[in-house]
Amino acid sequence: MQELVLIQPGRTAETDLQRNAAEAAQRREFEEHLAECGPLAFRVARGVLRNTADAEDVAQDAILRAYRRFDKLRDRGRFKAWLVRITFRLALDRAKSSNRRQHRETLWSQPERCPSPPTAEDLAAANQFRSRLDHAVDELPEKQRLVLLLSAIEGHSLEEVAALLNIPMGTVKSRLFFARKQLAEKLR
Amino acid sequence: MTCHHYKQALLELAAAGPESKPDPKLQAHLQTCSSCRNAFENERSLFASIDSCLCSSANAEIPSSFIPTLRAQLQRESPAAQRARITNPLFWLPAIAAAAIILFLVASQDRRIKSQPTAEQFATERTESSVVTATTAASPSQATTAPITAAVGKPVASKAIIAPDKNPARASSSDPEILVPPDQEILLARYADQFRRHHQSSATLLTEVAPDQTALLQVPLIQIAELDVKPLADTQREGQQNDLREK
Repeated sequence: MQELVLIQPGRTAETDLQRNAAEAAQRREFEEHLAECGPLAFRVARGVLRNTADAEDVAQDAILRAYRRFDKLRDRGRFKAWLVRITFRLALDRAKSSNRRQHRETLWSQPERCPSPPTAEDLAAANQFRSRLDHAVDELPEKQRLVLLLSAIEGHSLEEVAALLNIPMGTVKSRLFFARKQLAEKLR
Repeated sequence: MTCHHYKQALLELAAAGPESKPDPKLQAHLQTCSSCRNAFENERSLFASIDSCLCSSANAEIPSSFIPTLRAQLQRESPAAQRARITNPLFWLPAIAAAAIILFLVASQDRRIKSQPTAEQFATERTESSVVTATTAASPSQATTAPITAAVGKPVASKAIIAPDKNPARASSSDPEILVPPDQEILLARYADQFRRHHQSSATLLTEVAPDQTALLQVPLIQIAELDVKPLADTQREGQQNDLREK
């Protein structure tokens, strides 16, 4: 039985094949980036939101957005910085728009992440300290906050943070210094 | 130098991080001043707590389902999958249903609009009805049989037949259809009834009057006798004589 093929005017099988090949190559390239940058996106979101489920949602949303606009990114080497900025912005939006932040499960309240102190007083003090730190970080300027967050993520030196954000090393250091100083003043 | 002088420098040294090296003068002061050394240690422990909290927050364990879920979403987002979704008839089913409903609504609305006369047709009907009214007024004998017509000033109106005639012979005649606002149909029907009755009675009156009765009355002239005119002095004298006679 002969197979019928619908050929649309102005389109040929060759152009379809070329387009499919280009799409496949682009998708492959994106997945290569994804293996490296996916965890970073999650950690950036997690650092802002302090909630695993929300961070997962935001990171996935950011990665999907990046995927949809991946063909518009001219410098593919800047993908990591691009994704970090998208994720950070989305996480901030989510954190601002949500009034449930106070009720969210936070890192500080997760027993497996925070080994319980020997006494109840110590636990209460530690929780209080973390809560105050949480509020102090939220009040930081966005630029300082992003530098503080990226420098806190394992495997990111200050040089890498500078390269990621495309800012001078001195700027990274000064932002980090003022962020830490401001945090200490609020927690002292 | 006093401890107060070193206070700000110590705070900044602690904020700069554990890798930062103190100034030699500050280092010397820390070795000699125990209170400054304690304050510096407290600051360093504070920053260490901050760093440890930030690190534990930022380096949270990634859920095992994160990357597989993401790959599945990317698979759904791929252009080939989107094209396949677009070519699937079920993808267009809601859109087709919505379009069909919209078309049906538009067509029914259009049919309703077409069934109503336009402004020109309305004007034509008004002219025709006024002509018919003039004809009936000119020939009162026909007024009894002619349909009563009326023109309503409002252009937006519903169609109503004032004298619904079931007789096909008469229905096929040129009974004008009158556009009447929906809330004025009953009033206009009453008006038409009164108008028709009025015309019938007036026509009856006109037909019963004989032609000779309509002629002008012939009134006879008043018959006056000839007058006896006397001068005024004679009349006074006669009056005096009459008075004397009576006495």
